[in-house]
Amino acid sequence: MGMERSSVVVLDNGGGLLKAGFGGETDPIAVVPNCIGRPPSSKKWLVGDQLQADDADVTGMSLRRPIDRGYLINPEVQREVWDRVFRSLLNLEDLSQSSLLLVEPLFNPPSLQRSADELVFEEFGFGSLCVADSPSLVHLYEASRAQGPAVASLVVDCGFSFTHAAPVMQNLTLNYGVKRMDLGGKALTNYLKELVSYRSLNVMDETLLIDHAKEQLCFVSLDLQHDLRLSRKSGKENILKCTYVLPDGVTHTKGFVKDLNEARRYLSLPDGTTNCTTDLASKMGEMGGQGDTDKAEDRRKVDLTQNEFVLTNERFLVPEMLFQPVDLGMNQAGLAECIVRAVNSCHPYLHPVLFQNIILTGGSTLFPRFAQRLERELRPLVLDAYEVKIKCQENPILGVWRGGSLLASSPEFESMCVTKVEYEEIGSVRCRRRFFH
Amino acid sequence: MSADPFIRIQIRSKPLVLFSSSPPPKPKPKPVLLSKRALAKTLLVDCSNLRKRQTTTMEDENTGPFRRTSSRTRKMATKMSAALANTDNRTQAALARLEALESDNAGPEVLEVNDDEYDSMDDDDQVYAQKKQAKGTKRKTRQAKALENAKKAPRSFMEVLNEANLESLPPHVPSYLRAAVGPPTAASRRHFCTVCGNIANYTCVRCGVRFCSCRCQVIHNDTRCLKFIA
Repeated sequence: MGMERSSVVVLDNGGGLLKAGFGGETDPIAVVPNCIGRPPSSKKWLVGDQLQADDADVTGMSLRRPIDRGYLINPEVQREVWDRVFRSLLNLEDLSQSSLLLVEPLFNPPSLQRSADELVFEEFGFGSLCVADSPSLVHLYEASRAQGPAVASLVVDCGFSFTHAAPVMQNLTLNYGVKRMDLGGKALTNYLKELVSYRSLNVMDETLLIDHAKEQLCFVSLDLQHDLRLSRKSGKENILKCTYVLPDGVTHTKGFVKDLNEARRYLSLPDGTTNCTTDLASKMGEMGGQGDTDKAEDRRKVDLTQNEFVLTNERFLVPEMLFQPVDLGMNQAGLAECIVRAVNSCHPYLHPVLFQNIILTGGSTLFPRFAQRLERELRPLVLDAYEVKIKCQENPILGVWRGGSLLASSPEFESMCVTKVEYEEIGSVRCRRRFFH
Repeated sequence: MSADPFIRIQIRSKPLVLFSSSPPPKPKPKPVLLSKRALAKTLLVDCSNLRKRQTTTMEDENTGPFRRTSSRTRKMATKMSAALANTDNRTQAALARLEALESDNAGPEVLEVNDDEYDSMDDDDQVYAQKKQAKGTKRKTRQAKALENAKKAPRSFMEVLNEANLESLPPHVPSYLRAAVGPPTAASRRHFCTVCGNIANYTCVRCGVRFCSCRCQVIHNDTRCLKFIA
């Protein structure tokens, strides 16, 4: 049945989500959290997709991640996750016939490279291995979809553990030009946890729930002062207020946003910086309608039966941290400056080309209005003569995986791999020299 | 009792005079008929001793048979010594907050008990093994347990980074440390109120956090002020 499937397993080992599938396909089969979790009541560790199941109890779960700050440091936990993915989700029985395309982060230290090689060859017994890094795969994917020849592009990967701005030229990542911010989805979730715990309920243990809340409710504001003023208003005029309900184990097992329509009201805000109060009122009148009175009563009832918390300005203060980490006290430049520094460390002839081809990838770019805000911040920092064009991938989470799938199905893939025999003969360090990073 | 203040002062001044000359009274040299040179020598020696003793500071007082505090060296936990050395609680709290942003949601470490091994054993063996296990765990001291835990725990990334010794590479080789985007060009920051999240213009005097208005200050004083410090 599946015999025509190529035997290349493409694995994007991310800090947050792990994407695995076969080369040549458009979508990975398994997109699972890369961690193992244990609910407080039981002793059994849930692995990967078991955490996403509908009946899993996510409250108070203690997680253990194999990836710390983006690098694989805990091979035992990783082995459990990979076991589950390869055997149960991909249904692979004999791994020695397959080759693995592994996506690793940039600047992986040699000791971690060695332990990853051991894990692949000795524990799982793959036939051959090829290691790639994420910016070159994204560039490959976008180049294949674009019309003209894309010589160079700047890949901005806002991932779980950190954010890289990496210039890529002709499928080769320019190592010396890569700039890294130590902020990613994990830090954003932790910041939201801190804000909510400080202001309403204590949610410091509920990583998965707050992750979900962040993905549903947070957005990037284009004008911070204006949005802060909006969030201060009370009652119906405050279109940013939103309630998130925590699961109570009996009626709901997963958290949810109390009213999604309410959550989307901010979209009626115009993109400009002017206060169009009349427009707002009319649009709210359209959307509110007859349900308004009921909703107002519901809201006034302080719902003590359910665990819920209200989010107003946290919705846009959390992603704000990516653009200005100084607000938190972190001595790091923001995303716009990171991009400018990455481009400036390349040859001057490349600058206009790189600014024209900025590609946004990674899960944290999924916040609404991210690209608009980035362009607004970046434009003053770039010379007038250069054009700034930011392109979002259509699916930032799967972008790297799809590039890997393309690479795996290309004819040169076989020659790029390191086979198990070679690894056993010459060892890990010499094998790694074949991959240029 | 309107005694003459003059007298009181005089009386009080006496003990002060005593304490200022801190050393115990050295026995005065007996007036012996000495040659001029010998007299000069003894006088010189006496004067130098006196001078030394009179210029004693607090630390030097702590030596000799009449010291006031114990001079036994004591070990202190590193965290405590760091806490005492860096008396700025606010910067510490800020640093702790930034570190918490990098934390994973790891629950309390569960030592993996080898339950699986004993599942398929006979009753006798199981009892014997349990006995042996019980004996073994009793003898393990706390230090040995801590050593075992440290060995079992996986290394953190910072340890791996330090081991890689990236500073020794020549400057044209790109590495993890050089790829870090550095401090921003404009170091000005906006402060947000810790209670409600608006732009904060005022600081709490006691703990140094920001708030935006009187209402938020009241809430802060009621619930959170000095929570981590006092």
